Amino acid sequence: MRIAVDVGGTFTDVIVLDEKTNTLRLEKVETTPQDPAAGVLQSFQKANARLSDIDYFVHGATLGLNALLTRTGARVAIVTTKGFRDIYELGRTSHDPMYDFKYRKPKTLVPRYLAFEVTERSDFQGNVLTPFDHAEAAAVARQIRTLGVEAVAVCFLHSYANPAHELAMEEVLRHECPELLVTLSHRLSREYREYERTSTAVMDAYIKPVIRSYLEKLDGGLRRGGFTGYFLLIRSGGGAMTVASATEQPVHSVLSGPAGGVIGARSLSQLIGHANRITLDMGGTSLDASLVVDGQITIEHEASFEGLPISIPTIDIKTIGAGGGSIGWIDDGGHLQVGPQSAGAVPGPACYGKADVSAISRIYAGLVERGQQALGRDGFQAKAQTFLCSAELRYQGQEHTVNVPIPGRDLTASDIARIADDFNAAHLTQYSHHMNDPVEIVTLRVSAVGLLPRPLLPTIAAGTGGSENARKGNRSVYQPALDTTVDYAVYDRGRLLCGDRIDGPAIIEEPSSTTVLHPGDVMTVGQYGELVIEVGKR
Amino acid sequence: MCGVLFLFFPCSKIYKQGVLNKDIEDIIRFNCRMPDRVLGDMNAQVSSCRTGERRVKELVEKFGLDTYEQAVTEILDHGERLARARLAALPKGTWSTEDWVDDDGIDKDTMVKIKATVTITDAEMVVDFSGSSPATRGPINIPFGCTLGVAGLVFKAITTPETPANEGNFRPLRVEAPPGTLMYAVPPAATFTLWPALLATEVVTKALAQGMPNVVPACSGGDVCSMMGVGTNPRNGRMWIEATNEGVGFGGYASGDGENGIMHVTEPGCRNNPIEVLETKAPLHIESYGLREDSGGPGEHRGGLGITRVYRFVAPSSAITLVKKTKTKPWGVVGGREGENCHVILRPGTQQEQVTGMVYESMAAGEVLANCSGGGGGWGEPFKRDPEKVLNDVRNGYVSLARARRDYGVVIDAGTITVDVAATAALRQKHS
Repeated sequence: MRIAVDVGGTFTDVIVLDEKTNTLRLEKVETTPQDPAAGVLQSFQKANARLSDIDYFVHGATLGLNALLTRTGARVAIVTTKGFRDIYELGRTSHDPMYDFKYRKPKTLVPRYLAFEVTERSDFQGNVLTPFDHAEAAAVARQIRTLGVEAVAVCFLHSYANPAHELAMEEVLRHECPELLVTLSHRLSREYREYERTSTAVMDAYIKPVIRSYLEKLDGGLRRGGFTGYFLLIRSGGGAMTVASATEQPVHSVLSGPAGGVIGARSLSQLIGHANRITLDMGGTSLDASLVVDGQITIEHEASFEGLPISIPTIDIKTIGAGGGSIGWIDDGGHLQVGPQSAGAVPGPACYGKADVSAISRIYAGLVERGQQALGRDGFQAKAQTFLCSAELRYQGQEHTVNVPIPGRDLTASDIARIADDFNAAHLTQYSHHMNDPVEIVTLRVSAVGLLPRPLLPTIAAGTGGSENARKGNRSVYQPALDTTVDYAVYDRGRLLCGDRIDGPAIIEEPSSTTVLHPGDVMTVGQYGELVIEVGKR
Repeated sequence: MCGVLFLFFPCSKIYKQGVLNKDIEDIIRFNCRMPDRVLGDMNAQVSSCRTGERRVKELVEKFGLDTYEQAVTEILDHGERLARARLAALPKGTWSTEDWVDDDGIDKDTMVKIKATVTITDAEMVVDFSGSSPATRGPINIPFGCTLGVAGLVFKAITTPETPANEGNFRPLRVEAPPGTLMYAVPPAATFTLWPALLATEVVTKALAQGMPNVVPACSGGDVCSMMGVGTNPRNGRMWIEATNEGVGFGGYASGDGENGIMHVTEPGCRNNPIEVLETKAPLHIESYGLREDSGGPGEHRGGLGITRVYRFVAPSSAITLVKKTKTKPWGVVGGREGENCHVILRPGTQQEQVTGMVYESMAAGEVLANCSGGGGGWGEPFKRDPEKVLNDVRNGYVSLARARRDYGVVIDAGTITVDVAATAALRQKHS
């Protein structure tokens, strides 16, 4: 049995897939915000799922995001290189609003007086210019301890090239303040841009205490109840992670909420064909949109949350502040407006000279090995492991990169030529032009993926093509273009069968959504219960 | 990224009927020092235009030309209605003021005046730059199109700041400047990268502040405070050119403090260059980077803080600093005081130390340059500032203990970091 739980603001949704009977069930319970873990455990009871029967429990954990939204995360201190305490406070010093003389930045998560400096300095190649001052670091740690801090984010300049000083600081903190949770920036990102890396580390530290205690409680409750299966959490960048991973690097759960929907859309796309999809997830106050292109989810590596950058892979989802409950209003110029608008909008060392093929292969081999170790710790055997290698490339002199998949191992010179061609083609697709300029590699990436056995989605029974069994009645619907009402037939989605056809105008109802067909639309039901609509001329 | 190219292209077509004019591209390529970057940027702009063209065509094909044109007309008219509605709510009157550009780049001893007279009636807002300096010999003259932009930026900020801009938003605005003067360059007047335009923006708000101090803030740090380095990179023998602008303190305003360290209001979307990127791409070492304590103008609402960034040049280089408002301080409003001014310090702490502004300076290996951006002016009487806010300023290092006392009349216990309420009341009483 597989069970998936998604904790929302008002309701917690539970989906149970019973692989023996090949049935899918949906339950809803009220969310218990004062004790979310208890709420999740209760939802298992409501779904009549015996814990010992469950092989996989997949969870979209929104606790980290909620802590960020309500600013109720941990009290965090930052430790950084001497002379640079304002890296986090200043950020990129940008303002996007164009006509605002009174612009105020989004509030950061750490006030300036909790940003501390330690004497140390490395250069961009990782050479130590100023040694780490242990005594000063210990004094800083002791000072942090007196300030009611719960978690510390450490980010030293160029730590992606040489993590030694961050590791040394972790040791000092472990010795002086053993009860504090620590996040080292180089563990989350090995790319340059100090502000983005600091911000990512701060966000991780901010949610670490609440995520850890939640997972401890939930996992503990499950195991005590007889659960022996896989407990997985959805990652912001797609795929899932174990409780151990999420406890180590909770920042990967922050934007995982909408990720589940996009992952599901890609799976459906693979099942029923059509490699290109637009995904929409409309809630009460906002709408999330994403694309599945050529059967692939689009990933970005520079996400942001309320203006604060997160440098982890996230599914590229755009959010606007207009949802089912958004309010329409008339502006001073007499036009209709809907809601407040907000669009979610956001490399290792560069190689100089010719691409050193053996050096690149070596770096990939190292990354793959680290991936093998990480997956091994999560319980995946070698044959269940796969590795996707890619690189961030750009034209020399430009700043922004395009991500291109590349063969990671045993690269040859002809591979390099093909990579450059792939980059030019990708650049042309994204930016409508390409150039003859030399191309440089900025970042090498490896996604280490542990393969879980895929569930088989149950099919539904075939019908005779008519849909009268599912008919519930009629409803009068106002048509603005005609300034009159039109009768729409109403159907119950749960009673539709594979092959059934409905012509608009019609409304198809179900517990969690409503599908509307207008005159001229034609809908058929697919073998998985999906509704395929040919939209008529509008 | 400016390519340092000094050529006029009088609306020359780079593409005609979809075909690139290679001769023009070659002229650009052979007359700038970083042709890859310049042409890369140009190609990006061409792509944007082509994307825009595709989208407009799609709209016209989907809705028909008539509907499209009607929609455009309505969008512009809506923009105008919005602007007029907001204009009607503003105070009416005429206000006049002036400020100064450091110099024209050639005559270093003469400051250059920008004068602005703003008039608001029921029907329009007029911004008149008469009385500004005549055209200067040095390259700081502003083409009138840019002057329209300066006034437009302020007009939209006080009428329709929240909507995407369209021409309708600016119909109630009229801009005047005598041809042949600083704000209306006429050939062969020398122009460059827009300076008085930057500074003139806030001369307009300075005039408005006289009539509506609750609508506009005090002056910001006032400039882009850019530092550009050029040289040969000893690691690869190639030329390098890297730069970053710096954020400034924004001016305090009627309901809040000016923000710390933000790019000037004329540069939305501009971001600083990360230290790790600068040090990777160029033989530069940044010694420190952070907020300037006490640089925000005191006020009931404090001006925001400026930034200091200290560069050490690892190899021989040229440093070009772009800043033209160092000889005047960012003004305060309704009793708020000035913020600290922008300035550049060459070779600080040495015998050759020099405090200056815009320079083109040869820097030997190991030499240091400090770029200090300005703080915003304060709004309202500093002694009226809530002592708890002053305490927060001191706790966060925005304001020193000494200045908390001197400028704000707030006495803070250094040990406990708490306000001494009695001492503060006495001090403020004594000085009121």
